[in-house]
Amino acid sequence: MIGRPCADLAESRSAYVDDALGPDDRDRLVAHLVGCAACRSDVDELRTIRRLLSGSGTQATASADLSQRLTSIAGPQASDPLWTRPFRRTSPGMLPSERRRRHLRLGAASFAVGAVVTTAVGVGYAAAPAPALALINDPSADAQAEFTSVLAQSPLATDSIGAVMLVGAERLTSESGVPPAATPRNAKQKSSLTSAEARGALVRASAAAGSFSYSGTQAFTAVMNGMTVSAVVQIDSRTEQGSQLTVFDARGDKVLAGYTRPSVQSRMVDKQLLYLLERNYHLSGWSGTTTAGRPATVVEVSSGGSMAARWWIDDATGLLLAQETYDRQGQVSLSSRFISLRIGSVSSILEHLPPRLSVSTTTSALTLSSSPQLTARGWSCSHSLAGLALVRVRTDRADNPNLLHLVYSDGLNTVSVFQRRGVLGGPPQDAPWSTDLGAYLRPGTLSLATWQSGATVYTVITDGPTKLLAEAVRGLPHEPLPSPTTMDRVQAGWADILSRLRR
Amino acid sequence: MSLPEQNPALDWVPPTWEEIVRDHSSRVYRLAYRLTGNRHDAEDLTQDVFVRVFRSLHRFQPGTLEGWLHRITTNLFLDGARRRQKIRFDGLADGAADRLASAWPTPSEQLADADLDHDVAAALAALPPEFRAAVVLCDIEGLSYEEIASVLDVKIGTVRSRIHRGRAQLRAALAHRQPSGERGRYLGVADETGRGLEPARPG
Repeated sequence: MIGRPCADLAESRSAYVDDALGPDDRDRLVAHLVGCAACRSDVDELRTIRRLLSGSGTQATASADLSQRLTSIAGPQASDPLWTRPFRRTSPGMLPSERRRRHLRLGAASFAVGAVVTTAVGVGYAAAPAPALALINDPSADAQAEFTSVLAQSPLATDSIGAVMLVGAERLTSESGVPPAATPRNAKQKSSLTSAEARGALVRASAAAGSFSYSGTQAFTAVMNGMTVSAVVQIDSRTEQGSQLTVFDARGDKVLAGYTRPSVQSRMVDKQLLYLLERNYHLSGWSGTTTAGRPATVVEVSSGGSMAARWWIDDATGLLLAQETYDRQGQVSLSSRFISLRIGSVSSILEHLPPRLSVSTTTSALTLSSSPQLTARGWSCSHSLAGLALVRVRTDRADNPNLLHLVYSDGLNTVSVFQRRGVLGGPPQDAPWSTDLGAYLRPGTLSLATWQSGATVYTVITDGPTKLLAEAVRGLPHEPLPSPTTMDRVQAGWADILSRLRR
Repeated sequence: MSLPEQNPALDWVPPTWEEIVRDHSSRVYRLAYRLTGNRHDAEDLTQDVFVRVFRSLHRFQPGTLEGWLHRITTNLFLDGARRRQKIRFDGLADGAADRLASAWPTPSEQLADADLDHDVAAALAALPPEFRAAVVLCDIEGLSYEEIASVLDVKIGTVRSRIHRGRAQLRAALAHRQPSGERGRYLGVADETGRGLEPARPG
């Protein structure tokens, strides 16, 4: 028996019978037919069918009646010469093809679209403005000003801290300075405070800030990298007006004088700071102690059994009389206390306003819930960093910010993260490159790190330990500066054109 | 057939309508007859074709009269066949199909076909219109695949596929005419082997 003919060659066999195969296909099929009896038989049957059809049917003619009907279509003009183009040409004509016309239309349409796109891209590319990334030469000054304004508003920081932070630590460093010793717990303490009572004392202190006038002198001492920084700060603080601060170095020379605005009271923020403090630390304290000649209550926060900070709160007014923070070994890292203090005695207004100590570049405070939108726009805005919680979001403009200031806190330590669109022009002063962190690093009373990631310059400042800074720096992105793609350039060009048109 | 002049337009003497009918009516009628399968429908189709030709002679592209006639004929035939199919389909619901005249040749009409054996004519009439048009243009009119593609305004591959499938149906319907297997195989072997042994044709 003959097997079935090869199915995949069925069309080829049919075309072969009509002699409609190209020479290559024909040769291939013939070579196959030599060895395949089934296909040969199939070809033979196809030939028979073709013969059956073509061998006949050529004799049919239109009847005379039909010819008559056809001629009458033209009516009386049937025997006149027709208006028509020549029936024959030397070259064969082509029937109009709707299919080909569709293809041509499609081709023309895609060409038109292509031309429009090409033009749009070309125009956009040509119109692209020079690279829009601003050059940022030293972000540290702005960042520091921002940070001190944050500190100044903190209800749990004494006035001198913010002021001293503004002065470069190196100007206040003295090798001969005596490292501060922790104020020993007074033996004649009256009674210990419960955690709730300690919290109450802090609430009272934060509510008291800025609510009365006082003047006095604070001694400030801090230890960093084995160096002692010490300063004396004169404070003249008036209700509703702010504080005038003068900073003297250890030799008594004036290094800075200026004015800070009264702290903007934000009960929400204060509450949140207290909440964070309570969550992250254990609160305790004792009452019945005396500092700067005034009866005071001490609140102590500790973490894991080692104390982190102490505040001395005036029993009469709630004013912060002194503050000490400690490193992990229990050594004092920062101490600030009133040496002398007069409360409520000055009622006259300040005669003149000295220069502002710090001017913040951010003007618009956003709610924390705006962080997803900021993240969507390419800012880093996570709710926590290095174990600290996001407490404040500030920008230069609410709608399309160019600068973002995030404040993270655990209630005691503060980490500020500044993000600014632009390219870092060079390292900030006195900030060597740290390959370990991938950032320029400047230790000090405020330790600072700055680096470029993508099209953003990051600056991180903290008053906490160096380890905290390192953790925060590692928690933020470090990406290479993007080289603008052609598409970016085209988009920038069109954005520029559109903004000009709108103007 | 070929005209020797350089510019045909200058020596062109326009024909009269009578001349066009005389020269082309038989060709159109023959194709119409093979497509419709009976005299009556073929005459109606031929008349429709010439009405269309007369109306649109001014749009005629030079050099393509035969192809143009083929196209008008097959287009009108396919249009009519599709319309009838639609009517039948729509009419089935209310039983109207019986009252409609059949599009296919009756047995008596097939017998009246002197040129085509009636079983072949019946098998051809049973093909779907698209397949029938392709097979008729190829096997009866003797057009090349390129010409058929141009007349039907489809791709060559479509022409090839329609002819193949139409022919496969015809073969199944006309199986009784096939020569005995042994003989056919013998003939096939002799034929194809002979061709296969020829040297490859140039070009």
